[in-house]
Amino acid sequence: MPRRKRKTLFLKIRLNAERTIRGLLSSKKAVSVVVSTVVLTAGVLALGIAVLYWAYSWGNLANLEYSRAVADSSHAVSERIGFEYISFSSANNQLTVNIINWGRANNLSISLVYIWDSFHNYVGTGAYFPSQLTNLTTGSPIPDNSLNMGDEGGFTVRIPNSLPNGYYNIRMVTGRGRNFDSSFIVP
Amino acid sequence: MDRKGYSALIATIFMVLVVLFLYFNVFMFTLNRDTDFQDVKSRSEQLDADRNAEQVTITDVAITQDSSSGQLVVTCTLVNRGSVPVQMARLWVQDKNLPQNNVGNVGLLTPLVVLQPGSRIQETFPPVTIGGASASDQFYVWLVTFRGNSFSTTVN
Repeated sequence: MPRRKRKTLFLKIRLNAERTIRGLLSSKKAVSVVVSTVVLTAGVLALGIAVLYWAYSWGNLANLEYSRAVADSSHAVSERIGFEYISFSSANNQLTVNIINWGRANNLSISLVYIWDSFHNYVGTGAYFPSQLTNLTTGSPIPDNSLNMGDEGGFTVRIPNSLPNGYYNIRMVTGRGRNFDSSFIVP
Repeated sequence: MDRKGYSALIATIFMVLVVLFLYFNVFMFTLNRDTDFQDVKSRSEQLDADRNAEQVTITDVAITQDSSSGQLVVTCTLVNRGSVPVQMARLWVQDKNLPQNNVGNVGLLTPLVVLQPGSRIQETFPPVTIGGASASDQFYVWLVTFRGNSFSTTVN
């Protein structure tokens, strides 16, 4: 190609390019679409992240609650109580109960004691709150008022009236809601 | 080429995958917790089975009285006829001749009293205090194990 012709071609291309760019810059036709797309994308992203965190926090909460419920049930299932000796003193209408935690759950506490006679009638109010758990050997209070695995302890229940001679049933309800039954005789 | 329906199809596949992924996670989590709980239940049933397998016979019981302290010293032969080892937790003694405050006990942690299956041991327990008791009285003696069982006998 001759030199002059080539120069003319370059000039034409340059002119066309400048015209195109100027046209693009001066035209505002597509700006609103771009802006709306950017805004929409940002909104969707923000909402997505918010929903993600919301779902994550609820999921975490549900996870914790479910795990705790299963752990509580597992502990309750592992609770076992053996009755060592139950005696009733007519001098002060006091029932003494000595127990051992032979289960696989620590922190076993006694929340309620039910007593009824051989005819299945409740004795007095029926439900009694036990006293502080005490060490069987020393008689000193047991810390936290609960028994760990293999621990022994005793508690008393004050009954309003004297018990006639006979056979009685006792039910202990633990802090985790388990029931353990035994019986005793008032001679 | 018509590609109008592709985006809806791809979105549906993605949605199904996401739902399946979430469901799988929840299912696995629940399954794990359930398995843990079943393990605990099995162990707990094993506890009961072991407890039921404890069988101890108390024979040749002799109760003597310490001349200086007046405490009762119980000697006996223990035979484990069960299939599991047994550890004694506490010895209880009740004097049937006394009307009240007639029960004494002693913890059996030092030394440990452990019976292997089929074993027979002669044991002298630490002294038990019962105010006003005499060795010639009639006694009710029982041993409590760490599995919550009681094995008893009477003396005199």
